[in-house]
This record gives sequence, C-alpha cells and structure tokens, in this order.
Amino acid sequence: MITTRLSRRDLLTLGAAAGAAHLGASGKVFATGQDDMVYVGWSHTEAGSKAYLEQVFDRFRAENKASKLETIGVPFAQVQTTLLLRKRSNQRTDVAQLQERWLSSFVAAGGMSDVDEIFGSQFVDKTYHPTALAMTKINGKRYALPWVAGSTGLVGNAKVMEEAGVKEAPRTIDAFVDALRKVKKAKPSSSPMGFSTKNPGLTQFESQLFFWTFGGSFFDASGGIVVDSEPNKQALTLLADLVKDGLILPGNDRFDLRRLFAQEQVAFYPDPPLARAFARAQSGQGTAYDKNVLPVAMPVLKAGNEAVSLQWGHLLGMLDYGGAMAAADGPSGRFVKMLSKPEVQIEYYKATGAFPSALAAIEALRDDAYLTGWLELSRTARPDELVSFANATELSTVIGEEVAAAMLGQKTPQDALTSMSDRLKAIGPRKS
Amino acid sequence: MLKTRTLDAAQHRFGFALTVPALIAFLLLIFVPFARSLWLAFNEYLLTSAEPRFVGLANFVRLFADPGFRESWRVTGIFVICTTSITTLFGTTYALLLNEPMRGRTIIRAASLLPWVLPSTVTALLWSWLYNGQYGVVNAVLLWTGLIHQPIFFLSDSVGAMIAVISAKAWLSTPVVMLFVLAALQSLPQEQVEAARIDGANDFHVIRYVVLPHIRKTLGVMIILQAMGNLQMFDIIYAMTSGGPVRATTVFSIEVYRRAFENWDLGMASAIGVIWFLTIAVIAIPYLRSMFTETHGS
Amino acid sequence: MNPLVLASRRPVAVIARALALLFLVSFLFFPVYWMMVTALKPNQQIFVQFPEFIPTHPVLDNFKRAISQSNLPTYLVNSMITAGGSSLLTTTLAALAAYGFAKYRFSGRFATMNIMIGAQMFPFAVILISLYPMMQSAGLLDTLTGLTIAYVVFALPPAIYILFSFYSRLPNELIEAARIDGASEIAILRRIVLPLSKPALISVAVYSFTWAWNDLLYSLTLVTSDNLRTIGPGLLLTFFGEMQQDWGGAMAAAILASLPAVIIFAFLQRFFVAGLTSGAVKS
Repeated sequence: MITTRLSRRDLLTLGAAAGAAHLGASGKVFATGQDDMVYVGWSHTEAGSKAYLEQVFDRFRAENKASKLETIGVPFAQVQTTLLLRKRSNQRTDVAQLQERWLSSFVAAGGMSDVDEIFGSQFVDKTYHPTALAMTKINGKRYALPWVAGSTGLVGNAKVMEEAGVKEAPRTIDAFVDALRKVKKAKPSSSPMGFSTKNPGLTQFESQLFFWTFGGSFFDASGGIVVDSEPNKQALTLLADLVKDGLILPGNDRFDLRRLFAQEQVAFYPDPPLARAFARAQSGQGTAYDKNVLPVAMPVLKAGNEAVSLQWGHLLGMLDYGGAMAAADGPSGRFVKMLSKPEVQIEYYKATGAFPSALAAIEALRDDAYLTGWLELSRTARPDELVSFANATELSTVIGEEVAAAMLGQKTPQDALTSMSDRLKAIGPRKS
Repeated sequence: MLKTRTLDAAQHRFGFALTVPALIAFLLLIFVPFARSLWLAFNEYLLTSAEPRFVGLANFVRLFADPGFRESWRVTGIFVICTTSITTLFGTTYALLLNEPMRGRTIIRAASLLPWVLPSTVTALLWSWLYNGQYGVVNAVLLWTGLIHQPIFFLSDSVGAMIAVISAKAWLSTPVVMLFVLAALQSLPQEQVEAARIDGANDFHVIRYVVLPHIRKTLGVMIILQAMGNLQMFDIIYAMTSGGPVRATTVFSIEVYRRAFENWDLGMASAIGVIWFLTIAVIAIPYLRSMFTETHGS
Repeated sequence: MNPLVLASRRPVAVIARALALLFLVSFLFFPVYWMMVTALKPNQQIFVQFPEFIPTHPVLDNFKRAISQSNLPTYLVNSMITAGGSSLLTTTLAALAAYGFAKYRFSGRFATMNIMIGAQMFPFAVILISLYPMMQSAGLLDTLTGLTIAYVVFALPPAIYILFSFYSRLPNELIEAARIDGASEIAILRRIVLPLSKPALISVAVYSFTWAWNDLLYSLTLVTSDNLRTIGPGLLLTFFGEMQQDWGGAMAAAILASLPAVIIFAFLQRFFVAGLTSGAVKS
C-alpha cells in the first residue's frame, strides 16, 4: 500500500515542484528583446534539410552574438494552423517560411509586411531572379522574399525504370501508363506512380498536373468555377483508373512517397527539386543515390504538346505577429539576408537540391545538370490555380477531397466533379 | 445530511465557501466559454473579421443545406453506435469469463487494463500500424488465411478507415467496461444463482434472468458514458485518419476542429457545436436524471 | 468468492468459453505484443508483407532513434507536468466542493451542483473555441500553466460527482462527534474527512490525470512551441508526420511514451479501481 504513505507534506512538495516547473516552462521567457527574433518554418525539421539549416542557424548565432534566434520547427501540414494560432495569440513571430500558395491567405489575415518597404525595391529586384519574385506579389505588393524557387514536375527513379525495362522517361500519357504497367509487373508490391491521396491540400496541388495536361482547369481567367468539364473528367478518370489498376497505391502522403521512392517502390511521383535530398537521406546512400533521381517532364496528351509543370517555392515572410518589428538591419532583416546570400544558397542547393532564388547563385550554378534539367522543365511552370484566393486552404481541401473520392472509388469522376463544383460555389472563392 | 439544528449559519457559510473555488473555475473555464460559443453560432466570425458580426440563423441555414454536414452526422452516428455496442459486448463477455476461477486470473485482470492506460496517440499509432496497407499484420493474417488475395488499404478506404478507428476505440474502452461489470458481479447474490440452478436453469438462463437484471443499472450507466465519450472522440480519429479518407471518418469533433482552427470559420464551427451539444444532451438526459435524483435523494 | 455463472461442463460450452476468452485476450494483448515486436525488429524485417511473429534478431536501434531523433523526453516531462498539475488542481477543487455540497446546507446548492455535473455533456471542442481567446487575453496561450488550467475542463464535473457520492455515504456521526468535541470545521475537514477519503481522492486524481494525459485537442491548439508540446501532439507530429514510414521508431517511441503512465497505474490501480467503481456506479 504505497499510496497511503503519501502524506500531505508530500503532496505540498509535489504541488510546489509542479508550480516551479510551470514558472520555468513558460513559452515566453525566450526571444522577447529588441535584438531577438523568432523564426517559424518546417524545412529545418525535415530529414533532407535539417542538418544543413541547423548549421546555418548556428552560423547566424555566431555572427550575431547580440541577438537571440529562436527557431520553431513545425511539420509541414501544421504550419498554416500554427502560424495563424500564433497570430491570434499575439505570439512574437518575425520570419516565417511559407509555401507560395499560402501567401494570399496570410495577406488576407493581416500582419505581413511589404518587403519592398523594408528592404527597398531596388535591393529586392537586384538580388532575386524575376521568376522567383513572381511568386511574391499579391495585388501589386510584395509580401515575401523568395527563398527556394523551382517547380513541381515529376521525379523519376532511374533504377526502378531500368529494372522494369523502361528505357527512357515516357513522353506521352499512353507511354506513361505503359511504363507504369511494366514497373508493376516487375515489382508487384510497388506503387509505380506516387500520388498524395491522403492530404487534401497536396491532392489538389498534384492533381493540377493531370487536369492541365488534359487541357482542363478549376477556374477560368476571371475566377469563375469551371470544374465540371470534359477535359477534367478525362483527367480524373485516368487518375481513378490508375488506382483501380494498382498503378497508384492509395493512402499515401508526400512523406510516404519520398520514402517509398528511396525504397524503390515508386517509379514516378510529383515533387520539387528537393526530392533529391530526401532520396539521399532515406536511401541511406547519400549522394551516391543522386544518379537515380531524375527530373522528368510531365507526359503530354499528344506528342508535340508542351509538358505542364507547377510553379513552386518557399518564401520568407516578414511578420509583425506579437509586436515583431521588421527592419532591414534588424535581426530579422539580417537573418533573411543571410539566407539569400549566394554562397549560402549554393551550399543549401548542394546539400538538399533546393533551388536558389538569388540571381548570383543561379548564375554560378549554370553547369549543374540536375539544375539545368529542372530549369528547362520549369520554363512552362504555371502558378497553382488557388494562389490568388484568400480562402485558398478551404478551396484546396474541397478540391482535394473530391479528387481523392474519385480516385479511391467512392464516387464516379463525374459525380466528384459535380459535387466539387457545387461545393466550391457554396463556399465562394474570395480574391484577396 | 447533518441535522440542521446542529449547524449554525457560520457553518453553512463555511460549506458554501468550500464550493466557491470550484464554482469560479467552473464558471471561467467551462460555463462562460461554452455560453460564448453558443452565442458565436449566430455570428459570422472569419479569419479576416476583426469582430463577430451577428447574422441570426444564417449559419444554421448554410449548415443544413450542406450535404457534407449531414454526412458528418451520419458518420458520427455510425461511429458512436458501433463503438459503444462492440465495447459493451466485449467488456461484458470478458467480465463474465474472468469472473470464473482460473489460474492467473488476477494478473490477467490487472494486465487487461493496459490498453486503457496507454496514451491515446499511442493507441492510434499502434492501430494504424496494425492496419497498414503494405506491411500491416492484419493484412498479413488475412492474406495468409486466404480470406483476401490483395492487401486492403484500410485507412484509405471509407469502410476500412471506419473499421480501423472503431476497433482502436473499442480496444481502448473494453477494459473499462470489463472493470465495472466485474465490480457489479461481486455483489451477485449467490442464493439467486443457486436457486435458479436448482430450478434447472442452464448458463444462458442464469445470465438472462439473474445476471443481466442484476448488472442492468451498471450496464446502463456504462452505455451512456461510453456513448457520451464516443460522441466527444477526437484524438484517436484525428491521429489515425484526420477525418479521412475524404471525410469518411469526419465526426463532429473533427468537423468543429477543422472549421474552427484550420478554416477559421468560428461562427460555423460553433453552429455545428450547438447541434452536436443537442445530440449529446438527448443521450445524456436519462443519465443526468439519475444523478440528479441521487443528489436530491441522499 | 463470486457465484459461478458459467458453470456448464458440457464440452461445447467449455470449448466456446475457451474460444471466447482466447479471442478477447488476443484482441487486448496482441496489439501490445506487436508493438514490442516491431520495436525490436530491424527495418528490413519490418517492411515485409509477411512479418515474423517472433523476432529472430532483436535490436535496440529503434529505441535509440526514437530518443535521439525526437524530443520525446521533453514531451514526456511536459505531459507529466500538465497532467499531474491539472490532476492535483481538479482533485482539490472537486474534493472541497463535493464535501461542501454533501455535508452542508445552503440555498441553491442542488441547482448549482446539477449545472456543474450537467456540464459533462458540453462538447470539449466547443468550449475550446471560446476558451482559446480567453486564454489569449490572460496571456496563458502557449504556456504549460495555461494548458494545465484548461485541462480542468475535462474532469471537474465527473470528479465532483464521484466525490459527492463518496461524501454522501460518509457517516455523519463521525463529523458530529468531532463537532461536539469542539473541533472547528476546518479541523474536521483536515483531520477526519480528508484522511478517510484518500482512496476516493486517489481514484479521482488518476481519473483526471488520464484525461489530461490522453489529450490531443487542447494541446494541439493551446500550445504551439515545440519545447512545450505534450506527448499526444509530440508523437502525432513527429511520427505521423516526417517519420511516417519509420514504424520501428514509432513503435519504440510509443512504448517509451507509455511507460510513465503504466508505472503510475501499476502502483495505484488497486485504489483507483475500488474508488472509481464504488463511486461512480452503485450496484
């Protein structure tokens, strides 16, 4: 009977200890001074980029002894919620890593600084590549600096292709489906094509590659909903058939696909150039695995069509959450500038495959085959259709859910498109 | 109750004073936030709004026009009914079996509480692994026995995901039901069982006519508590499926969380909360009534 | 000794009972066994379609990775602090109130208490929507203190009810006798009532502890800094996110995360079981 010996004094001691622990464990003891800053992002929590970014943060700390840098790592799927929770709760956040397609939601929520005002538009124009800068403007104002630029097309695994007897990256949809069948035959347990059906946001993002290839889209130029169309139906039918035939195994998220790719269970999947870093980390072979990671153009419907690709990038937003003050020569300004230095971006690229956004860095890497290969594919990159909507997250969830419903066989492609169209109309896309 | 004449006013004031800290905590942490959320249900309150704006019943009108919401009502119903009945059936049967003398009974009883002690995220993680589409042991066993020829991707199938979350929650709660039924069986009157046996009753008769009437009240309370708990269920479902695939496991709690903290539509989230609360209230009334009778009757 | 309910000695009945027991025992224990087996296997034995049921080459790599690659120890400490603190807080508040309700007469006590008990049916997520801005204006968001206080929401109403049932059955004579001896009300509470109610208090403390310990909803929302995360979101975000496919590491982390509660429960289960079953359900 151990517990009967618990005296009141023990309980009081316990209580006092718990109280003391509370005082010591408040989240606000850190990073509140003028010279301090808080950074929120996800890349420094991920296997591919963690080591390098930690090293950069340490370098910043060493060079800025007077400032305290607090870095908060949040898994990708929780970043938007976390940042908005921090905004609502007035928690200091100076710089945030943002996905390019989230920008309008954050601008609509408020608290994003105009980077031209902070750094001067001359500096911004001179430092970054124009394509990268294109991702940062909302209603003519620049709300973020580009950090990692690039595009999302397909990534191919050369080893899996070779083992299945697929000689070269398929150019057309028909050849692509043939290649997938060959892979499935060679590796029955594999998911020849990788596709994120588990996370509605990514499902929506990746599905655009297919909708666009068939000539479809979600919205027309003026923002009207044009979901229910013949090209869209064909694209969605193809996706559903690929699942039905076991050529896409359902229930995966991007993380799963990256690991399956490195385990040689996936031949093709949509990912930006960062894919290489994950393949290095998860194959356990490091840079020796690079030769298997190929940028592959999205196959086209008819030979001669232009392959589609999705604009993609990581941005750095300067926030005023919780009284944070951005200044070009303040800690947050110095931090962002450090991440934009050509030498840092080149190192980051070499460590992870993250494409630089700084002009000088891109210039210096002209001879790199992986980079030039991607850049070639990025020429046709289009922005995510949702970038300009303030309620992009909500819209993206609806589209992703309906696409997944068709792919998982819960609805026919036509029903899914009808329901997608109805639900989008009910929500009402709001431009920011 | 103490005889009133032995207590003076000062003593009653002392009694009242004892309840004040809990009362303050209750008002601040439970009652006021709840009442405020009820009021938000009649407001539009978005990420971009500075202040809630009164819109009357507009949220409810939108809600009932939304097929997605009717779907989450149905999903919640299926989850609550299936989980509650499976848990009750398993827990009661298990208690009856463990009520019989056998070697190691005490150890088995104590160890059986393990699923209930594990953090629920652990439960979710564990069951996601058991049901994994490529390497899960459930698939391995089904393939082995020849019941299926292709692995099933449970968590990406609308029925499979529901089965997965129901079994995880039933696993977690079966021990509790077992515990309470076992406690109720302690006071089962020996004479009644023996009398029934002398009258020629077999085991089923004993269960039907002696045991069940005896544990009826316990079972009733357990069922209502389970149902209320399952109606509130968030952690296991969110961790295993996040409400997916495609809303197939989006119960009320997930729906409210997503609308409130992912889409920042606090008015709509609260409106769903109102409907959800009314659903719980219907189930809770008989239970609360028995509690209230007790508070008055003692 | 309980009366024998399942007494039939017919072979069919004996076999049916054995099968039912086997099924339920496997249902409850196999998942735990599988968690341990997976945690002890090297990766190449985990990612196979037909896994081994007994690991041939057990290794501890997964445990090492679970500790080194995540903030598991921090999450555990945070969970202990918040669950322990809120359990202490809830039990104290509930014990005082339940004793006041059960043994004193003042106007409005039944109405007050019924509303408090009835709050068990308020959905937690709905309370959270408005608790969130209140925590924000009190400056308690993203603090362990705030989370601890918020956890009182879960267990206060049932705790009051369980302890009220207990105190109602405490014989009045004990208290009266002390009063006649001239003991003050506070002395009666401290010297007589609280010592007598230890088992009930422990069971309520364990009950509220498990609520907080299991929570995901509140901790996911009220805390956003990684160093303040508790075990629920900690495991969710680490092992369902980035390390999604690292099942060996995830299972090892799951075992480590379970240990503290299992140990506490192993010590306290006798009181807990007795207190809870006698308090909540009169049979």
